[in-house]
Amino acid sequence: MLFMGIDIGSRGAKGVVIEDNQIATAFIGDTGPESVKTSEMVRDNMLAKLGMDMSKITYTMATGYGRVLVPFAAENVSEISAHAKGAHWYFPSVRTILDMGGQDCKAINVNDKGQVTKFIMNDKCAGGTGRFLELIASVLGLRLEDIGQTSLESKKNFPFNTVCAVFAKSEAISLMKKGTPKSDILAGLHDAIAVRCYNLLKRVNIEKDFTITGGIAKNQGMVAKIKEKLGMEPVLAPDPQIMGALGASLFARERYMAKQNAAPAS
Amino acid sequence: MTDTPKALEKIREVNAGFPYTDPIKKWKERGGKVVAWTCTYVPEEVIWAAGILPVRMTGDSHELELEDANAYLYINTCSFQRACLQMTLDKQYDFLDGYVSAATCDGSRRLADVWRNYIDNIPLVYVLTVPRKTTERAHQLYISEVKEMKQKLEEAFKVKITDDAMRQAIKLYNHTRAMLKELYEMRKKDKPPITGAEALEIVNAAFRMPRDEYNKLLEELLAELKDSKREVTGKVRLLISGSPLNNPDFIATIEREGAIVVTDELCMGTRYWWDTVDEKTYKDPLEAISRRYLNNFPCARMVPCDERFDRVLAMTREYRVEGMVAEIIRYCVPYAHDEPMLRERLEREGISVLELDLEYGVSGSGQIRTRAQAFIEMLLDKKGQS
Repeated sequence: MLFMGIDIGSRGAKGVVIEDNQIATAFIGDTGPESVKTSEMVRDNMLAKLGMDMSKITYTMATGYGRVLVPFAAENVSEISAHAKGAHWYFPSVRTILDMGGQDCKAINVNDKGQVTKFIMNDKCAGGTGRFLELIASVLGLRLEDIGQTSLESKKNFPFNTVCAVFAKSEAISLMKKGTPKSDILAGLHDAIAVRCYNLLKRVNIEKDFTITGGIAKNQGMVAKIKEKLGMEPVLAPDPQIMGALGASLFARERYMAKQNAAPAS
Repeated sequence: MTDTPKALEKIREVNAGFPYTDPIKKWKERGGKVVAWTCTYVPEEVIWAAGILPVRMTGDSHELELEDANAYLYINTCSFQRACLQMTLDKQYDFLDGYVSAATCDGSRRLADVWRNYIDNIPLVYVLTVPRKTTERAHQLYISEVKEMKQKLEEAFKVKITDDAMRQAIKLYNHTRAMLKELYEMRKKDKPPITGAEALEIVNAAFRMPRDEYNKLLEELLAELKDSKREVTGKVRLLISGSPLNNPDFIATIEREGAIVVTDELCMGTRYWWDTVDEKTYKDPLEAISRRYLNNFPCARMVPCDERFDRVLAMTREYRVEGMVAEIIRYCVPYAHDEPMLRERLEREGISVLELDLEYGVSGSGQIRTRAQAFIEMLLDKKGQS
C-alpha cells in the first residue's frame, strides 16, 4: 500500500510517497501563490515519477503552513508533529529536533515513540529563517545554495548583533561597500542565527540525539555553527527538507491502519 | 450542540454595539453618567452606589492599527493599553463622564497619565494606588485610597454615596459573582453546556451594561442552560491564563482545533468574579468592598506569586484541566515574568503549557493555529488517543 504526505511550507512545497516502510518517491518545489495548485503540482510530479494515478494512493495527509489547502488530503497534522514523526522514522534515538523552515524555527522534543513532548516556536519575525537567508544571498549576489559553503571559507567572523532582517540587510550592504569579504559577512550572520537557534533550543530539553530538519539543514555552514554552539553533533537525514512530508505520509499510514482496525469486521 | 440560548443571543446583541452599547446609550439618554474603569482593582460597587454606570474600558475584539496611540505611548507599552487609547483617540469613548484607573502596572499608569494630560475633557480622571501586598498595612492604605476615590466621585458628580447605597451595590454585584460561579460550575462537566469562547462573550457583557439588567440576563441564561440538553465536546480540556483578553475568536480558534476551554485565569474571567464581598464581618461597607478587591484572585502584579499559582493549580484539579494556554501580550511584564514559574509548577503536576506570545486583539493567525494544533496533538498523544 502507498501513502502520501504533502508539506506546503511558506517557501517550499514537499511531497513524499511511502511503500512498505520505504520512501518510494519524493519531490521538492516552490510554494506558489496558490496553495491548492502547488499541492496538485507536488502530487502530479510524484505520481508521474511513480507512473501511477491517485487511485493507487491509499491515504493522504497534509502538513505545513498550507495544510488546510490540500484538497485531496483526507486529514492534516501540524508540522511540529510531522517533523517529529519523520525524524523518529530515520533516527529512533532522536530526542531533540531543530526545524529550520522558510518563515519560522521550531525546537521540538520527541520521545521513544516519535511523539512530541515539548515544543517552542520563534515569534513572528523573519530573522534567522529561510526567507532571511534568501534575502541575504540576493544582497550579496550569491546563490542560496552557495552561502553555507562560502561562510565556511571565512577567516574572521564579522560580529552581527542583530538578526532583524531589516537591520541585518542594511548592515550587510554597508559592509560590502567597505570591502568586507562576503565570507566574513556570511560567517557573522550564520553565527548570529545559530545563537538564536541555541536560545530557542534552551527552552526545550537539549538531549541526545539531536537532528536538524527543514530546508536550512542543507546549509553546511549553518549546521557547523549550530554544532559549535551546542557542542553536540547532529545526526542528519539524507534530505532533511522532506522530513515534514515524510512525517505526514507516516501519519497517513498510521491513521489509515487505525481506521481499518476500528472498522467492524465484514 | 443544540441551539444558542436566547439569553446568549441577547448578550451578543449587547456586545455587538461595543463600545457604545445600546444599554449604555439608553442610560445616557435618561441623563445618567458613565465612568470607565480598566483594571479589576477598581471597585465598581462604589461607582454604582453613586448612581453612576461603571463600564470597563477595553480595546476592540480584533487587532487595531495603533498609529495614533503610538504617538502618545511608547510601543513597549502593552498593546492592550494602546488599543484602549487608540479607541479613545478615535472618539469611540466620547460618551464617558469619568475614568478611574489603578496604578497596578506601568501600562495602566501610563494610559491614565496620557488621559490626564491630553484627553482630560471630562469631570473626573482618577488613579487609585493599589499595594502589591495584602498585609494589614497594605489593606489600610488601599481602604484610604478607595475613600479618596469615593470623595472624588462625590465632588465631581455632586452626589452623596451613602452606606446604604454601597450595601445595595454589594448585594447586586455579589449576585453576579454567585451566578457566574454557577455558570462556571457547569463547565466542570464532561460535556459543558457552553464553549470557552461563549463564556468570554458572557463575561464581556458584564462590563457593558447596567448591573441589574445584566443580572436578569444571567438569570435567564442559567435557567435556560439548566433545562437544555446543550453539550459541547472537546478532545482535551484546557485552561487559558494570562493578559487581558476580550476577543472570543481567539478562544474559538483554539477550540476549533478540537479542544474545549473549560476555565480561565483572566481578569475578564475568574479573576473578575471569583471572590465575593463579605457582607457580615465589616460595619463599614467601604471597608468590606476594599478588602475584597485587594484579597481577590490576584493578578500577576501581586506578591507573593504563589498565592496566584496555588489558586490556578486548585482550579486545574477542580476543572480536570489537561493543558494550559498562557496568553501573554507582548510587554505585559507581570504575566511574562511569572509564566515560567507557573509553568514549572504545572509541569510538575503533569499539566503541559502552551505559551503564546502575541498582541492584544489577535485571533486566528496561522502561527497560533499551528501551535494550538500541535499542542492538542501532543496532549492527545499523552493520553494515548491520537
